[in-house]
Amino acid sequence: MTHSWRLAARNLGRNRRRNLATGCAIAFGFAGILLLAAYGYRAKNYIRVYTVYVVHTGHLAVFAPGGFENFAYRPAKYSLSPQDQARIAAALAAEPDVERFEPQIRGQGLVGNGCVSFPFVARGYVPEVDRALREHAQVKQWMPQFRSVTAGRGLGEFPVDLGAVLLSRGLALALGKTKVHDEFAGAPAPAGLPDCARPKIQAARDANVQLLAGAWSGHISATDGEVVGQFATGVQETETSGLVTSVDRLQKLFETDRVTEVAVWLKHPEKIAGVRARLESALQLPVMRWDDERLSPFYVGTVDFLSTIVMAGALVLSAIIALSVLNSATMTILERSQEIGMYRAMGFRRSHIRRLYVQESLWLSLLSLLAGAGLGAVAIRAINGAGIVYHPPGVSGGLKLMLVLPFAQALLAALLILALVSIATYFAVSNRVRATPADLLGGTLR
Amino acid sequence: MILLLALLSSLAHAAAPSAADLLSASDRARGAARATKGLSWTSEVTSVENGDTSNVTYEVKVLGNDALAEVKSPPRQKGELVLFNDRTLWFFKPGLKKPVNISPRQKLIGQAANGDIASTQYARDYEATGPATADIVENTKTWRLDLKAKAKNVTYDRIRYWISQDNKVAVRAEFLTLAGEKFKVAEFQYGNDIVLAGKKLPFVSEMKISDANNAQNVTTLRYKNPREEAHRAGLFNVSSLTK
Repeated sequence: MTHSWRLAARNLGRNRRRNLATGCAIAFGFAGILLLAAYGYRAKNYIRVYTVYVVHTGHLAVFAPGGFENFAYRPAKYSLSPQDQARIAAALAAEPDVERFEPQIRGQGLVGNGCVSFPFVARGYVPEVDRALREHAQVKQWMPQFRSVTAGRGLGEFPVDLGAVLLSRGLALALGKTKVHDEFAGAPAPAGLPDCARPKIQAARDANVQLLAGAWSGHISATDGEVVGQFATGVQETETSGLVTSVDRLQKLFETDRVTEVAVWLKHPEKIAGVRARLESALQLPVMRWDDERLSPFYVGTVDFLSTIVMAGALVLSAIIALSVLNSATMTILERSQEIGMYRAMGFRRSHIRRLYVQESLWLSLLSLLAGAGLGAVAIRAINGAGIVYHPPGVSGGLKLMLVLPFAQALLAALLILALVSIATYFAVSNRVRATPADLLGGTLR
Repeated sequence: MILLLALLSSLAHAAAPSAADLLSASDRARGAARATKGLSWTSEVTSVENGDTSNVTYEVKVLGNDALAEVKSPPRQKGELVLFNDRTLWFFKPGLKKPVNISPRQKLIGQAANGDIASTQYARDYEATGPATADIVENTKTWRLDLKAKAKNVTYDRIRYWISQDNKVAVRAEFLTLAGEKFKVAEFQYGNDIVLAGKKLPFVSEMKISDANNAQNVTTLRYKNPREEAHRAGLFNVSSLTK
C-alpha cells in the first residue's frame, strides 16, 4: 500500500505542466469556495447576533395565547397580564439554561417636538437588560464595529423618572432632535413653546419630546420623553420610525401594566428545543423560537437568500474542479495507455491500476487543496484588512466586509473535493483498464 | 320625445342647489356657524368597540375655523385638550411639556377620528366631484353629494354625503378610502335647536358612526346644550394650552 502511494507521488512529476494546470484549478476553486463559505458564515452569524441580541428578540419569546397574531389589533386582550408575567418569571428562574429574560412591550404612535410630529414604532425594553445585551460576548465577537447607540448613551445609564428615549437616526433628524440629553447638561430649560416658523432650529433647543398614542383602553394618551441617544436600526424601513424606551415608559403611555411578550436568552442556544418544550409544558403559553420566520422574517429571508447564493457559487466552482480533473485524467490515461498495458502484462489487477491513478489524483488534490487553503487564508486576511464597506439590500449605512472561515465547513468542502476528484479519475481510468494488454501495449487504442 | 327628456333632465339639474350651498348649510347645523361670535356645546361620546364600552365627555368651544375640545370626564382624562387651528390639530394633557401636533384622521375614541369631535367644515375641506343628485334615505328626500378632499390633512379622503332637501341638514355620510371602499358610516339626528342672530335653526343632537366592516363597533356622539357664546381669540392659541 505504502509503495503504491509512493509510486503515485513519483508519477506526479511525469506531466508537470498538466498537473500544475489541474492543481491550479483545484487550488483556486477551493480558495473560491473558502471565500464564499467565509462570507456566508460571517454574514449569517452577524444577522443572528443582530436578531437575537441587538433587537432583543431573544432565543425564545413567550406570548399570550394568540398574542403574536392578534396583539396589534387588540393589545389589551392578547398581552401578558402581571399574573402571567409572575408565572413566567418563576418558570424561567427554575430553568438552569436561561441566561436572562426581559418583559417587552411594542406599540406605535406619534412623537412630537412641539411643532411637528411623526409616526413611531416603539419597543420597550428593561434598561439593565439592554445594557447587558449591548456588552454581550456574542455581540463583541460577531459585531465588533457595530454601535447600536450612535449618539448619546443607552437607556440603562439614566434614572427611570427622566423618561429616557432613544430615537432612530432618521427620526431624530426629522424631528430636529440631533442633540441628546447629555449635550444640554447644566443648560437652563428654554422658556415657552418653540417658534414653529423655524421648527428644526427650535426643536434643537432641548432634548424633550412628546409621545402620543392610543391607550389600550381606547382613548388618546401622551407622555413626555427625553432623547438620551440615537440608534441605527440597520434596516431602512425602520430608520425613520424606530423608537426605543423603557417598558415602564411605554406602559405609562399605553396606560397598562401588561406586556406584549417575554424574551428569553439561553446560556447554551443549542439546547433551545428542550428549553422550549419544558417552558411550553410548564406555562401552557405559546413559546416561539427566534428563527421562526414569523418572528424573525428579516433573519430567515436574508439567510435563505445568502445560503442560496453561497451554495450556487460553491456548486459552480465544484463543477469546474471536477471537469478539470476529469479532463486532465482522461488526457493522462490516453497518453499512458501503454504503461497501463505494461502493468497489466506484469500481472497488476485492474483494481490495482485504478487505485494507482486515483492515488495519483489524490496526491495532486491534497497538494492543491493545501495551496488553495493558503491562498484562501491570505485572501481573507487581505479582504478583512481592506476595510471594504458594502451595501446589502435593506441595511442602512452599509456593512464592513468581514470574512470568517468556518473550519468544519472548510474541511467538509475539502473532503467533498477529494471525493469528486477520486470519482472523476476512477471513471476516466475504468474504461481504459478494461482493454486487453495486447491492445494497450500495441498503442492502437485512442 | 328625446328633446322633452333632455329638457326634463336639465330642469332636474337646475333644481338642485349648488354643492357649496348645500355643504355650507349642512355645516351650520353641525357647528360651523362662522358668522357668530362663538358657539359652545357638550359632546358625550360613547364607544362600543369589540364589546368594550367607554364614555368621554367633551366641552366644545368654536370660533370661526378654530375649535377647542376639553375632556370633562372620566376623571383620569379630565383636562385633556384637542385644539383645532384651522386644519392643524393639537393634543395636550396636563403635565405635558409641549402640545403634540396630531392628524385629524387619527382615531380619537372608538370609530370617531379627531376631526369628528369638533365643528364640521366640509364646505372648506371638500369639493363635490359632480352635481347633487336626488336620493331617498329612510323616507327623507335628500341630495346626494360625492365629495373628495381638497387637502391631505383633512379627516377623510372621500365622502358620500346625503343632505335633506327640506332643511339642508346632513342625514347620512359614508366615509370612503381613496380607492372608494366604504369603511365607516355616520347617521345624524337633529333634536337640538340653536338661536343664531335671532333665528332658530336645527342643530345636530346625535352622530352615530359605525364600522362598515363590523356593525357591532359603534361610536355615538351626543350633542347637548348647544348655544351661542362669545369666546376670546386667545383661547384658541396653541401657546395657551400649556398655561
